[in-house]
Amino acid sequence: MDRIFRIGNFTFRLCCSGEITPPENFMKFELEMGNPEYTYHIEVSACLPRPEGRLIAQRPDLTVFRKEDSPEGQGLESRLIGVKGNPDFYACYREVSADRAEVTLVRDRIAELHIDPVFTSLLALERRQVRKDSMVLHCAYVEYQGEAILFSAPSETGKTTQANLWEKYRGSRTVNGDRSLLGKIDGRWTAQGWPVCGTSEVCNNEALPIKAVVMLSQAKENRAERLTPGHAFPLLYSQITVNKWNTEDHIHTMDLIEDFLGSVPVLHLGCTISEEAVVCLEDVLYTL
Amino acid sequence: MFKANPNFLLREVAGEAVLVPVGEAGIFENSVISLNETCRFLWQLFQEPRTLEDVIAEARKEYSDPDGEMEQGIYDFIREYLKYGLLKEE
Repeated sequence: MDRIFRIGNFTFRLCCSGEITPPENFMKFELEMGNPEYTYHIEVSACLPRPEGRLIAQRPDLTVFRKEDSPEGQGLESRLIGVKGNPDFYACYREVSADRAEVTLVRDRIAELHIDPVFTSLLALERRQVRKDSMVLHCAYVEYQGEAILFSAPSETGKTTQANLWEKYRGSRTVNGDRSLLGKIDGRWTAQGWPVCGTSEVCNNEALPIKAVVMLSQAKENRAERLTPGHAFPLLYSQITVNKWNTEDHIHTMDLIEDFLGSVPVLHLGCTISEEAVVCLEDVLYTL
Repeated sequence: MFKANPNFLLREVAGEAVLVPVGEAGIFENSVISLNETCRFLWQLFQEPRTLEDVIAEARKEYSDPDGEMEQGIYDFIREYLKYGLLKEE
């Protein structure tokens, strides 16, 4: 396979052997034509190569290395990628130049690639996106009257529940049930598709201007309020993918969040599972 | 002497102060710490190594203490920030 994809404003080429098939959701981002700025080569092997560089971050399902010893390799990352609950890594990702990465997959684990995050993790996309002034938000991305409402919160809080309530009582539509890529299009912060959608299984490649982000918490009574940028920052930051081992990208992400907060309203909704929660949010959302 | 842990960056967002872990501090945790005005003041003092007495003296120049609670408040700040690794003892 040798195809071109575009996620947000990052266009890349994916070259891999025929035994590798990207998940259906990933294929929604394929382009017929385009000028790729980055190339990924994916190959299959019985075992993984040894990553290069100094160990800079480690958790059970991810180990990150960075090359620092040679001028031409400065800052290039390598990763050993795994899945929580399985002690063995399934892939090794190696950046070999500023515009190319080589990925090696363990042959025995190919069957797992149909799972969206297992495949997408191969490409370290968030690393490319921050350099395109974009960031990934953990949220239910809902379309309503031509704009995006983004329900964000830690897992199990009720993002999908609130998205479904809006669908039921207001006829909204979920674009992605778990993630959205945030970036500017024509100067306006815009929600865009992302090839991972959690258990919602709703994943569409669509871009819509953002009406607001709604940070959720469960409550006994419904209450909605607009947050000041200062109060919104910690909540939003906590739900954005940040590679903190890379200080430059980390600080740039914070700059992006600050810019975002300067133009997009962020609300807090303490909510129950009811139509009243929809009405409560709507009252504040449409008097902004 | 106590000094602010350099792995926490003070960031101002629309007038609100937050401490953001950078470098190896909480590398996989996306949380920041909101600071009120006095905590921000104390954090900035601790950018240089300071003793408790030194910080109390500096705080007295900036704030009045009608209820006599300043010393205890600064002591509690140091104890809590040491506990969570935000301050280091030198």
